[in-house]
Amino acid sequence: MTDEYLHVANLTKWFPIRGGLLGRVKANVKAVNGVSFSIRKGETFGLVGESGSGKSTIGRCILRLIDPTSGSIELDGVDIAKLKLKRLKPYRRRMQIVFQDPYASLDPRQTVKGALVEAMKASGAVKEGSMAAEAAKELIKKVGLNEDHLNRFPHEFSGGQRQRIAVARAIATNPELLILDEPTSFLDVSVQAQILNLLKSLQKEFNLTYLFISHNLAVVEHMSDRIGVMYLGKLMEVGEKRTVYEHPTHPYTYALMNAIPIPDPNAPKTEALLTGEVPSALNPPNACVFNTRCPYAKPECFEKEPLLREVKDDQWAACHFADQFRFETRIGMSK
Amino acid sequence: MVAELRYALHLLTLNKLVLVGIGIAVTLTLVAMVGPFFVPSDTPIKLNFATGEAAQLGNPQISWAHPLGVDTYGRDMLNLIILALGLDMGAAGLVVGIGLLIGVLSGAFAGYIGGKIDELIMRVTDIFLALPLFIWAMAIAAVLSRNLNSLILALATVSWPGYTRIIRGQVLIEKGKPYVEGLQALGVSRARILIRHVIPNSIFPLLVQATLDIGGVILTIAALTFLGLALNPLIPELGALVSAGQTYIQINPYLITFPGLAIVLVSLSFNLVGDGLRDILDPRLRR
Amino acid sequence: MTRLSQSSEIEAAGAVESGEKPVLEIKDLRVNFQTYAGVVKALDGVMLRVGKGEALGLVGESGCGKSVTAATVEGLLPDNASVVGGQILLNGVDLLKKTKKQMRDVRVNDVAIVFQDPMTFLNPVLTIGTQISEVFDMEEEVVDREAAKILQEEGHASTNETSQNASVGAKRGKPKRALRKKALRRLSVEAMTKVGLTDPERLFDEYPHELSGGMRQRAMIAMAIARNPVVFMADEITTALDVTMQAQILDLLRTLRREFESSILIITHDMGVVASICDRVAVMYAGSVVETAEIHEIFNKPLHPYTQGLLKAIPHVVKENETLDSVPGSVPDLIYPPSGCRFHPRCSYAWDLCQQQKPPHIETQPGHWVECHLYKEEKKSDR
Repeated sequence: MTDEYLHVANLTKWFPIRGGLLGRVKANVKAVNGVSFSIRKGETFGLVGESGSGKSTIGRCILRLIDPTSGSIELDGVDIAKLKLKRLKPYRRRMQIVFQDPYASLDPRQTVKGALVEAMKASGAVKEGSMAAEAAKELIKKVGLNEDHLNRFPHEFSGGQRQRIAVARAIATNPELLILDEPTSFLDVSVQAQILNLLKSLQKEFNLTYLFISHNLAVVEHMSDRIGVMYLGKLMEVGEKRTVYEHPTHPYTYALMNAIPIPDPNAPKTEALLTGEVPSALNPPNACVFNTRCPYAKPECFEKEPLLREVKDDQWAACHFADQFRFETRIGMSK
Repeated sequence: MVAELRYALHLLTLNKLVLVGIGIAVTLTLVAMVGPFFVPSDTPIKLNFATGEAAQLGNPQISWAHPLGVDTYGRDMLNLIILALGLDMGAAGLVVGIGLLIGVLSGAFAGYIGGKIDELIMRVTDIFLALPLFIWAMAIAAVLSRNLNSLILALATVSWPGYTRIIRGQVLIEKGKPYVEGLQALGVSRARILIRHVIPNSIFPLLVQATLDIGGVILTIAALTFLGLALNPLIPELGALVSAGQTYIQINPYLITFPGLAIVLVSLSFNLVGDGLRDILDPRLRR
Repeated sequence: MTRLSQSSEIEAAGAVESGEKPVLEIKDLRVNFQTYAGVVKALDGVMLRVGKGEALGLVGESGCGKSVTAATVEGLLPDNASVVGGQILLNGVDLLKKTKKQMRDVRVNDVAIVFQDPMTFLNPVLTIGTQISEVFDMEEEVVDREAAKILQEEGHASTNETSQNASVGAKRGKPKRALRKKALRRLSVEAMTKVGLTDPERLFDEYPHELSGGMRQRAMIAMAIARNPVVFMADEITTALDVTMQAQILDLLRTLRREFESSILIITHDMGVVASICDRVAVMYAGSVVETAEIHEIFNKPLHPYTQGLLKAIPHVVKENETLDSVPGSVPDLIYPPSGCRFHPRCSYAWDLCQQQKPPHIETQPGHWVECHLYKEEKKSDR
């Protein structure tokens, strides 16, 4: 695809659990298990899933904060998954991350100015010291704070303000891709709205591409253009936002969308279509990972693994029977 | 930043005992640092056997010339104690300082790098932790020579493992925090992250432990010299003074009272300071 | 698209509207906290009414005081907190006038609470079964009845003998204890089944850490409803759960409501959860309840500017909105709160009166209360 910015192919990340006297590998937590998708330039790709789905791990792999076990991550035709750290540096400044926890994402002993200047110098975005100071002033204003905030320490700010600082530091390197890992999960609703608005306006201004990772389906729906739904380390469905939320083709997506509480008393109430718990990532089910909880499971689902395939126009699902389902979620019905 | 300091001071003032401890510790440190300049430099060797013998026979010899009396060699007790304080606190400072240095370097490195290097360093640390202090000190004294340097060496070698563990634990905690990941994502070098960010954020519990340790080290030095392990008995050192005077405890208790009191004051006050620092650190007290 | 509410929900809402005595009534509750930085005026005159059998949602952002309110009702305030005014009437009896010992009984029998993190409230060294049994163990009658049932089933001689044997606390020792254990086990397993725990016989002997988050939450709910409390408070119980697990718990709560008579107080910051299960909603801001109304009223006709702002700030899965309207500014410092109406610095409608005087808690329409100078009490003559 010509407007493809990032292409992830068969990305796998297993975390070994060691035990015994010599620290042999006893088992593996299969956090990410063969995930493939692409992000287009300028879009917001929303990656959703419940806890243990592996979505945060993918974000960290793309940034090489964790090294993938196998698979490729292609940026401009270069597979950055395999690069040595030294050669990774120029790619590093093109992708940045904003974390979930506003309280731990900044060094408590560093001033705001210090953090921003360090970001700019480290990535090579700005070389000279005085230029960096000027740039820092511009940056802080861009995220809605003012100049005198530059000399303060993180603990003097509220959660929402700290996230703004984190965003400022992320865009300090002039990145192209921003990975947002649950950026508003710890924030109040009204503060969350401010931050989401900020992210949207920055995206327009700097033509940024976003990978928005969250378990909050309402927030993801608001921010994203396309959605990827993860379950137990695999992608279940990928597609354009409205289709995924209203007419999904995978049973898990359907169950997920019907479980979102809609803030409207006239809308249909939440439905628990799934029973039981998510299996452990130490021992995911064979063939289709969803087969233990899928209400539509057939023998085939226990024998052969369904690969992610294009079911409809630009809508992909990892299910043997995806083309037979005609799901309409409560969200679709409420329109 | 100012609010943090104000809060810290407020917490300190909550405990009157800690304040007393800080007062005494600061006073003693000043005495130890400045005092020796006011003491005649020949004090340790200016022996006066006549006075000394009188003291041994029961005459404490307390007067304006000798406010705290004399020791068994007839030297002025007050001067001796001032000199001894300097020596003891200096030695303790060195022991703790060397211990901290080695501890921070090894522990931070082990914690941050992880993997096999971490394993290796921790096993070495375990070996040193297992050394029995007194026997080790005796061995060093036997091999090198009975003087202050070997004493400091012996003590430093057994004190660093404790610091290694503490800072390794702190580094592991900091390493997991998102700001470290953020710095990595920016491309900041691992060395810079470790030195400029992780260590400064990890070091406070270490400083608390070090302060507490100063008291303990002084007690240990006094104990070792009391046992005759380390030093030339003429060197003004608190333990040595107690050792010299203990035979005469029933005849002239002043021989050991003042040096003993000095030992107690030093170790107690530094313990209180350490306690106060730890209280600041304790998150449960934070409101 | 309209959808008729369930009949029980209409009944409950109507009950409060028609002036029936509320089961729990909080009148002008004021609570302060002593901190090193000053006095935090956490609750500034909270007014709340919970009707019999109704589900009331208590919503607000962090610092608004919703958890403090629940803790005060439950008698679980920390040492540095003090109640400086107001009343908490449970069926007419003021809980604030009770002693600590009396409050313990209240906590056990009348007002149950379940928290967000069950792990901190479950004893890690006792099995789930033991902990659930402990709750039943406090009610002699119930245990005795169950014990009698067991004896009957096991075919003991005469009915007289069974009732004598069943009276636990009698002299005989070992067989009594075994019988009691059995009775408790059966009661607990029954409760566990009711809350949807599969394979309760096996779970009875497992420890909290062996259960998943959702299961622990269910266990806590089992313990809370075991005594059939008058009021059941759920403090952010689904916040830490995945969305599919949250849906299961909400389903469970709906089922339990039909079966039990308890009134439920759902404390949450999620308006979606509120819309899913509550009959009425109370919105809190900086220590006061600024608006209370029936659920459709709140969403369709919010009166208080804060409620309006809050609803506009929520990303709505169904409605498309390009930018979210956020409430400008941030939550006030409760050590030095704004004078008069605590919301006035952030309110686009504020005028001088708002700074001078805290608005009274008034009923503008039947069942709809607001604390805002924009509105006047509906005069009786106007109806």
